[in-house]
Amino acid sequence: MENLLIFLIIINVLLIVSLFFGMQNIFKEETNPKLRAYYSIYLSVLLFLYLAMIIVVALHYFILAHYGTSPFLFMFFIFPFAIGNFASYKRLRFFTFLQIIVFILSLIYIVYLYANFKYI
Amino acid sequence: MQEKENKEIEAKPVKITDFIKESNLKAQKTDMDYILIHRETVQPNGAVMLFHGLTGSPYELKKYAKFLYSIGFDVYCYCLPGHGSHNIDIYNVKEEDWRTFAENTYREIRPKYADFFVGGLCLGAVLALNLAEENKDITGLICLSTTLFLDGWTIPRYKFLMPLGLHTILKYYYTFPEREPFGIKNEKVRNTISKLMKKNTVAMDNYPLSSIYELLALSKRVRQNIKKVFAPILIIHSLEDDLTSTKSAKFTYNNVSSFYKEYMELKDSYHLILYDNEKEKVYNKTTEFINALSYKRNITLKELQNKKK
Repeated sequence: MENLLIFLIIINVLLIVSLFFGMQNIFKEETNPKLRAYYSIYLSVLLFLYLAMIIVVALHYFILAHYGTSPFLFMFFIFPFAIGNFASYKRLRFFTFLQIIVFILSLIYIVYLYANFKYI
Repeated sequence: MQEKENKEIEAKPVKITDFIKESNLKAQKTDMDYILIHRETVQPNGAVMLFHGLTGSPYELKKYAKFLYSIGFDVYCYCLPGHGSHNIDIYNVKEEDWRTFAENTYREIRPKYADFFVGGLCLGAVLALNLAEENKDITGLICLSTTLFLDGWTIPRYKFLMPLGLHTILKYYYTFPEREPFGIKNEKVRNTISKLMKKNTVAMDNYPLSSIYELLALSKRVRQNIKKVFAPILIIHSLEDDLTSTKSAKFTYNNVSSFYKEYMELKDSYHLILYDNEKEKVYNKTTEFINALSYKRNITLKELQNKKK
């Protein structure tokens, strides 16, 4: 479980950095479409791993009867879909920043969980 | 010839106008971005309204339109919202925009003709089906490479990641690059299209996921209401279609309520059947279908069925 949390932290950091980097440098009109395509696949894979691990960790805490922790984690699972639902191309930059902020919050929370892991 | 072809389609949205001018035909382009092919002095047999495919342009219907004109029909080739201009435009388009556009243009033109056919390729075929669900006075439907399911053999292996993209912010970032074989089996034609695509003149060089999302939403809607289609229908699909398998065509054939329906499978083409090895078969079948329906305007459905037998 401790390793899973470390892995989740790494994925989370990668997501934040990659999304920010992509928004600033990759997802531009002049960028090669193939590069944009592969970069978006890379982001999708990261997001897939992130969501899968969030679910595993949330279930783990739920089984251990940490009912206060699981809802937070489920919330981080749902946020990307909620933001995606409300996002529009015209306000894409705003929604991307919002997504990055959510990832930062989840990173802080997971680091907190990792720091307190020994008490479980 | 090659240079001439390139030159023809440089202007956007459709260089088909110049092509028609060269042929001494009358071509009009209005603020709705459609191309009407007709000769003012000749009374047409009817009209055909055509829609192009996703990320495509009316260029892909050019030869087919000319052929339909040659058998006596006025032809309207539409450039769908989000297409034929800057790539970014397609990100702002919803499937409702395509539907509304098709519906409005149909209502405007339909009263001018006794016989009115609606058709399309890929997304265009789905739009034609949607129009037929809403309007019962369509003489006939021509559905080419209908895309109700996205399950062709070139759909990438990472397709399983699509739901993640479709429902998150990544739908505006995720793109499928257009790649070989570009929907065309004939290598010579493929090379020509490939060169044109690099110039971004005939079609976009990638499918934005947001547009695929809209196509899938429209397809779902059409599938749900497909029983409302009563218009005679011609369905042509290739067994080797790289974007959508024959499942879409068979689903359409089995579920429409039309009394008169025809289905043809091609064996030596990919998705863009109007440019591929068996385009002549498509032309011939279309002629057969149109003649069957517009030969006598008051022909009854029973007579049609007998004629078919």
